[in-house]
Amino acid sequence: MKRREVLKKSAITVAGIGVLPNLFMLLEGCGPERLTNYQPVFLSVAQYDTVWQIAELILPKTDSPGADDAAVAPYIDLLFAEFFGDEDIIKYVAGLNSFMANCEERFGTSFVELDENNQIAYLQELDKDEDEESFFKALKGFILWGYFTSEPGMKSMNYVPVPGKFEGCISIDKQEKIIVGNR
Amino acid sequence: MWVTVKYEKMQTNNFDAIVIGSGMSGGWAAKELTEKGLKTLVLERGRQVEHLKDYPTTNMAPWEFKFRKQLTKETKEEYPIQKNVYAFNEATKHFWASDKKHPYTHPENKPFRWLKAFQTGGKSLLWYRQSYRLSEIDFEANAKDGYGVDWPVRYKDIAPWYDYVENYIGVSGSNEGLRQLPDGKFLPPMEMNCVEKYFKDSIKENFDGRVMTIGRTAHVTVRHNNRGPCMHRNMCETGCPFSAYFSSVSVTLPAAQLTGNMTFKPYSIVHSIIFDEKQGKATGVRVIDAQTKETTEYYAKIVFLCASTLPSTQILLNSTSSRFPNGIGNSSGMIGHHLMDHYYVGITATVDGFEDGYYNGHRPNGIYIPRFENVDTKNPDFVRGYGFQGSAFREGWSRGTKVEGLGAVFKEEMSKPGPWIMDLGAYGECLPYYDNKVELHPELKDEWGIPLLHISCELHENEHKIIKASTEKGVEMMEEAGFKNIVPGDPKDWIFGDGIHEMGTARMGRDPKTSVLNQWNACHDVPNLFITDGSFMTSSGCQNPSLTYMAFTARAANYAVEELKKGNF
Repeated sequence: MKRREVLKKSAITVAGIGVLPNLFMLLEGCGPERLTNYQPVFLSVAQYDTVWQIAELILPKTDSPGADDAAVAPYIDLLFAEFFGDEDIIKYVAGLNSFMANCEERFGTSFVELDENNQIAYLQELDKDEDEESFFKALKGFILWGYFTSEPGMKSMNYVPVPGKFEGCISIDKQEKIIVGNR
Repeated sequence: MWVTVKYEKMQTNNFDAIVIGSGMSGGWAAKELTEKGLKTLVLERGRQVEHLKDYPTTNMAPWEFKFRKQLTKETKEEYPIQKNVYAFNEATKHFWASDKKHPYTHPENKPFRWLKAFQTGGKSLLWYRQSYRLSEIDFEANAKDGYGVDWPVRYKDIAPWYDYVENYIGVSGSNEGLRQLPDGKFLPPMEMNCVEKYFKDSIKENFDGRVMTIGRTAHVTVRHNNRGPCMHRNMCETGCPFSAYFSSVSVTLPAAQLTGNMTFKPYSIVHSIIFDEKQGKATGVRVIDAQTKETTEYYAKIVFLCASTLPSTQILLNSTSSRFPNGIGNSSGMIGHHLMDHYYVGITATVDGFEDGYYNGHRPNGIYIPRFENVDTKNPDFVRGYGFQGSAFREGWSRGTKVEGLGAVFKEEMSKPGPWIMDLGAYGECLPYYDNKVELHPELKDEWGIPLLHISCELHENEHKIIKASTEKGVEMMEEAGFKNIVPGDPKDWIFGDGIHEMGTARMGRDPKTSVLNQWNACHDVPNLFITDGSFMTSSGCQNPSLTYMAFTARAANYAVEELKKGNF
């Protein structure tokens, strides 16, 4: 499914918050300064930057790599472009558009331009939602998947592709990372 | 490792023996027959897979796959059936047969998932490697409770062949002295983890007659016959660069090649077995080249049919002659009937505590709780029994969608092992029912002109009672151990075929009127035609069957060679 078709469909599906494609293109030209150079394949720049920002907040860079180091947002753009089926695309695009529109409505500014405290508060609120099927929970899952199966993400854990021996019962302290292989 | 003998270079179409199929059983037939000096043609319907060379994904990390091993849309379209298997992913899909190319039919109300591997090595490349002996209880079962016909074999007949196969392939495990699960010739067992050890002790303490042991698995845990040892990567289904688990590709076919007596021919689809009415014997096979569709006949003194249960049945039913209008060896009319599989229901639970316990390495194995019902006591609700497989593990980062959190602390937490989970799966015995059958489709054919299979199977009352009882008993053991959030799976998640243990369509028996094969896996009707894949199984037991196929194949091959030497074929 082409991106424009999806935008049209989701504009109908999510009444009131859909944005027409041409208007979308127009908005892209005068957005905030971007924090990433990646040119998305499927998502609009505004959608992509939103996903990028969410991923950074969920998995920030610390002394271990963050979402940006693991190219999580480009991976999610790729999932939209080539991995998801049509139904999922419509569902997730609608979810993302709602996420963005709700933010605008509430804070009077886009999510990427919101101050960090409010960004976190907004995400925490969605994170508390008990609906396992919510868009945010799905996106959180994609972010975790994109990060922890990437090379930097796997190597941030205890990556042991060829363990040699197997020890059934070892003692670990609270700092021990997941021992992960290539399976 | 071995060289394909191209058809152009073949000197002759005449051999001492023909083996149809190169998987679990075919590999063993090839090894035994060639080692006894027989010039043997091995026919494989799919492509050649050479050990080490043809394991393209075995050293790939998840991030090297476009979608990190998750299935692409194209893969899902090509493999709508196979994609449901636990062992199917982007790293293993090349070892599974395309559903698009290999269709079959079933009644709408009786779904069947035919999981198949059509290349050298067959499913021996993909199996879960659990290796359990049948016991005297299993061989006597049909005679005692009247379901099915009596096995013409008892445990003492096959025990030395179990020894022989285990010694050769290398099976790691622990002897427990159980009459329902005979001991074997084991390499050192893999270790249980902390929670499994705790669960084992809890079961021992609380339930008489129930035992938990480590899975008996065809992995060499120490160096064995120039193979291994296992490096505990748990990447087995991609092919093992250390030759540490048994497959025909890594073990039996190279052994056959080494004798100089094997001619291996891939892309060779057997259309039918040739029956000579005057001699009353099978004299060869008709082969269709999978690529060019050219047909050729090959001849031999003995034929081993090891194409795996469903394809073997297809070949038998398609081998018609005036003597056998319903398929070669089918004077009993039993071929295609009594199809069995193992059904299962999973139970999952969380385990509190053990936060400082972990495991190091990726164990390609789990635990086993052998059958305990209808062993020393009698359950009035059902005959036969079930066993449990399972494992305990600590949750990984994927738990992150179920827990609240975001930011630096959350990231750190998710990269550490999470709470413990214990999974148990009950695997039940399926009785042999005449109505559970596979037949040739009256009209539809595959691209080689061979009639498609129409498969019609369902579980009956005894199986449903076993599912109910096994779920209750599994939950009971977990409750007694203090596990929490115990959730049994939905038995409807299992579809006939999902056990990948399809068997029984050319059963052994004492009476040629009610069975297809005699005690040596030879056709009652056609003494030089041997069938040693799962089709010979007279009952299913509840144990994983591959070890039994291997043992019966080795035994049948040795019998066949002796008879051949006596001039009986």
